[in-house]
Amino acid sequence: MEILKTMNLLKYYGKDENEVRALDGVNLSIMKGSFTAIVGTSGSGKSTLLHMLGGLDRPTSGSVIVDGKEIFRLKDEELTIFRRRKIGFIFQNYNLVPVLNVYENIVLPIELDGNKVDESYVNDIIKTLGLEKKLNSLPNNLSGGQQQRVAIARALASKPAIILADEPTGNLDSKTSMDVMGLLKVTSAKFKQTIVMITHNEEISQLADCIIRIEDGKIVGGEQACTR
Amino acid sequence: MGLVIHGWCKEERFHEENGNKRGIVMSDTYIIVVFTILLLVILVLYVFEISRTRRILNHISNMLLEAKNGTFIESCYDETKLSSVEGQMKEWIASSITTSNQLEKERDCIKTTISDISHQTKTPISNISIYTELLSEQELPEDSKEYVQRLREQSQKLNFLIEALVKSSRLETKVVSILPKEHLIEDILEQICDHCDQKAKSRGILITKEIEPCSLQVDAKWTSEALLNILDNAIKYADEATIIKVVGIKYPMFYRIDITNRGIEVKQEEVNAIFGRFFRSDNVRDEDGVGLGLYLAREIVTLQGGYIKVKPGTEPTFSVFIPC
Repeated sequence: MEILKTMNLLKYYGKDENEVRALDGVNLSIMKGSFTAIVGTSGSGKSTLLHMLGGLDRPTSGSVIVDGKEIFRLKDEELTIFRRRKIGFIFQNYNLVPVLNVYENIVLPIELDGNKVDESYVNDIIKTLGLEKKLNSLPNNLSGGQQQRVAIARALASKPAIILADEPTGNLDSKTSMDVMGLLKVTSAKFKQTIVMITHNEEISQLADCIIRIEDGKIVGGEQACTR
Repeated sequence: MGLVIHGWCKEERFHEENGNKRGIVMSDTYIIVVFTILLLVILVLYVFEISRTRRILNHISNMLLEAKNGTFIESCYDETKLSSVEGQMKEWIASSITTSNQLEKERDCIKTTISDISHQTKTPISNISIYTELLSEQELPEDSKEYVQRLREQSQKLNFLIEALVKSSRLETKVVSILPKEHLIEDILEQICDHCDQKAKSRGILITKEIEPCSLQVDAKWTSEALLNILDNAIKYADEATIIKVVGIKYPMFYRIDITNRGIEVKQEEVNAIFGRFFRSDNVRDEDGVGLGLYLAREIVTLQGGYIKVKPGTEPTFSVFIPC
């Protein structure tokens, strides 16, 4: 079942000679439950693509359809609510709230939406990510790898339709990176979560079920048959 | 006395006059009071309606939450006390649960059938092997000898296939369960390398080991099986007289086992397909194999909370990650 689709996505900046084609006709299709990596070098357009997929930026033309909904047909406020409910984010620099402890950070999106926390589900995530002993710690008392694990727990806890991860191991050393990615892979399979990750690291990308390559704003290859 | 009567009469008249005035004032007030009461009644009815709707919505929301968590019990909801909408919702949830239960049952039935079939074929297969062996020990004309040889090869292949199928179906139907216990990974790896020693030597292949000691919670039998399948593949598909590297590294949350060989290329596009049941890449057509080794290995590793990563190419590395 298709959970994410883009149709001829275009993002141009500037005009004429100064025109930059960040995205030059991107057609993507992501299946539910898959772990996809979008690989490209700096300037290939992968960050721009991720921002489009998450509704954080509007394209010049083209559409993005998340869970059957064309997100750029929504008004700003509707889009914000849709994003909060349907999309989870993991950033390179974790972006945890420094004044809240680990547990509070994890359940923040759920409580912001006014929903009840599914205790058993959240505890299962916390246990799988090895965070049980750190629930009361503040982010600045955690290592980079631990902070990213909290960010992963936060993204998983609200059961979004899709999780978007932007260079999740960019700030981590190679061993911690493999650990964090391993946990991301294992939890996504266990909780049947769809993940789209952008990275420039080949080794990290090999953990994904599907690899899509992007260059100069266009998809240039990658596995046509992604299976799980 | 007259004064009193007079006074009283005056009062009467006063009341009469004021009574008329009050009469007019009273009918105004009367209207206002009635109107206010009506307004209040409408307000009360409105609030009552809203709270009833909210109650129904809450009720439906609870039903959906229970259905999502799998804790929905049909009998807890009394038809007579529900509104029509709640009733319809309850019916729909109940039928969805029935459907998914049915699907689950059918799936289990299929798995058990496969398991039974696999088990039943073992006896005839081993009989075929025995008789083929006996036949090969007899004095036979050249042609027949060749046929017997082919028979042996094919029955071996069939035997191998059935064994692998039985194993994988037992895992899937959970007839056999994975029982993790404390083991030293270096012992497990030592064992599987010894197991493959003969086969490697016959192709001039050297297996090097660089293993960081670590104690892991694993099922030794199944984990050995998984790693053996990968090492066996490495030897089978390697070029002659090459080196196979077995490396074990401890990470904070996982233990990583890398097996690298040099030989037949693992294609980038096939990196996921190779774990599929019965999949065999075009470039391994000439070699023996059934296409179940990697499938089993991934099932076993995933069931223990780990995963397998592949670095493709002509010097591919299979990395097995096991949580520690």
